[in-house]
Amino acid sequence: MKRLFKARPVVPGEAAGEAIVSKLPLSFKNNINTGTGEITDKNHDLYGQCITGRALVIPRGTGSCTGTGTILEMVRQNTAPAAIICTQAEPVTAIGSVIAKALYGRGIPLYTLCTEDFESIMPGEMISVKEDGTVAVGQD
Amino acid sequence: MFFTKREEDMLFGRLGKGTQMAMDILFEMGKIYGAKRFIPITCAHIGGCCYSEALDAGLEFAEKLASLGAKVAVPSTLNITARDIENWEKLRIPPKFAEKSRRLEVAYTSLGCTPTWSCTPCQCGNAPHFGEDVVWSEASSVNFVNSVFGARTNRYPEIADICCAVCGIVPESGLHLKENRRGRILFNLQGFDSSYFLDSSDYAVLGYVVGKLANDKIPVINGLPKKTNHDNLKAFAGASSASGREAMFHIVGVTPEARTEEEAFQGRKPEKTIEITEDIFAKTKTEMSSATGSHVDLVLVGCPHASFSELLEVRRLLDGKKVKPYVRFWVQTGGAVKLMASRTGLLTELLSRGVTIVSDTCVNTFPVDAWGFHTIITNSGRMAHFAPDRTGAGIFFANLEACVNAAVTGEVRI
Repeated sequence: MKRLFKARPVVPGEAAGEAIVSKLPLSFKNNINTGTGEITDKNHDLYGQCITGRALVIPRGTGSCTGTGTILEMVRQNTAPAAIICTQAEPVTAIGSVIAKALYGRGIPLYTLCTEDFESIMPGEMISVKEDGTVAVGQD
Repeated sequence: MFFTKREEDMLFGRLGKGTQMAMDILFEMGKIYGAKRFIPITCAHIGGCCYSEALDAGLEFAEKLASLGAKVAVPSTLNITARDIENWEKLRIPPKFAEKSRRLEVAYTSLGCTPTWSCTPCQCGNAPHFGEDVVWSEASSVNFVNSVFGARTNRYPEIADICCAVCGIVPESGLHLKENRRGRILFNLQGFDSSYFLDSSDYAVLGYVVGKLANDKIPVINGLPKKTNHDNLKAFAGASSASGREAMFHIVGVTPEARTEEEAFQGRKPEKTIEITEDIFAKTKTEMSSATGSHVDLVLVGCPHASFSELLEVRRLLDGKKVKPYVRFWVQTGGAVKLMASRTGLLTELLSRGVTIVSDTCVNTFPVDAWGFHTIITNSGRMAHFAPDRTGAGIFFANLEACVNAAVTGEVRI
């Protein structure tokens, strides 16, 4: 059944994609192949999966200040996720997306949800986000 | 959010298109940080100038900002680049990579930044006063300037840093506000006699364990000698911001916001107290080495970049000795320190003993595949943390003396 959540649009934008879900934070820097969108961090449970065009559902981004370059480069190469849904907007990820918008005219919409709503999202569910902060999860 | 007249001018493009682009990003950044207003900054240290981290997108950004005529509004030093600018060929850096790096260097210098190319800006004259609001990027230098100088900055994402430098402002948030600079976790040192903490590598081990246990909560360390120096604190800052997400630390009786334990916690109670014993220290030190055996390919010193006094120390330990021909001994530093070494004859002496000075950059940021390093020995906690992933080599962590001995004998004995 389709659920509608109210999220905080940290970087607003309209997008839709299939959910790729982890309970672990993700460090973008050095852990993603920016050419293919594949996660290359062997210690992450999403190792080997491709985030391109999908709704990336992770608690938060983590790691070095240099992660902005990775986010920006994914947008440049069209390998970025369609949207990022998290519980905590960490500046490196959010600002990477803002800069992508300024430079390439397209950012990665970034929304924060409360923990309960966040945890209800299952891998493979369809997610769409709207500028007003509406996050729709699942099929009609 | 509140805007001054000047900020409004920047936002509406009345101070040029480049400044407008930077200000647009700062406006969004202010919202992300939940700031009510912007505050002026006195200087900046910029981290987006290293090609292997900025990538092609970061290069396109810097070139665009420069082509729109933007210039930094405050003195802004540059962090490392992805090559030794004079000696990149000797370091076997591929020409195509070096060319991209060169373009990025040109873009950032044409924005008006100072070409220091170093992760230790305080050694190149960018040394703000206590209480100054600044914008620093590169985690170890952020940790150092907040803690040792008492200047105020957050760990700023790359590109956000240059936007702040262009506009001369930063959103008021996080560590710019005094109450957020208070210590959270107390680390008590137990049972360390006077044989400890004479060498910067001990500070690296302590930093490593504190960073790991405190993660992003400001630690307060009690029980370290009151007499210390910048090289020791640099080793601590480098290690603790690598093993954890630390942006600031207090050492009671040493750092300026911690003249007393009470001051470090701003009169509040620690959320947690952790005892650091000799046993924990020894275990951490073992954990920092991932390599086994006694073979070594590369001896690596200068992470963060070596100071002039560290170069003198290398010379002292190498007195009358030579680096084994099949071992590489790389000392990383910035161009300013290298120039001083050259003027005193120290550089020639080090080179004649078999040392290579790697200037402007760091082994973690340029391709080293062509060298085929299997084993590295270093006295840096930060390097011990990052090098295995970045270079693919195994790591020995030891003090500077053991590093120099490994270079001279070709064998690791620690």
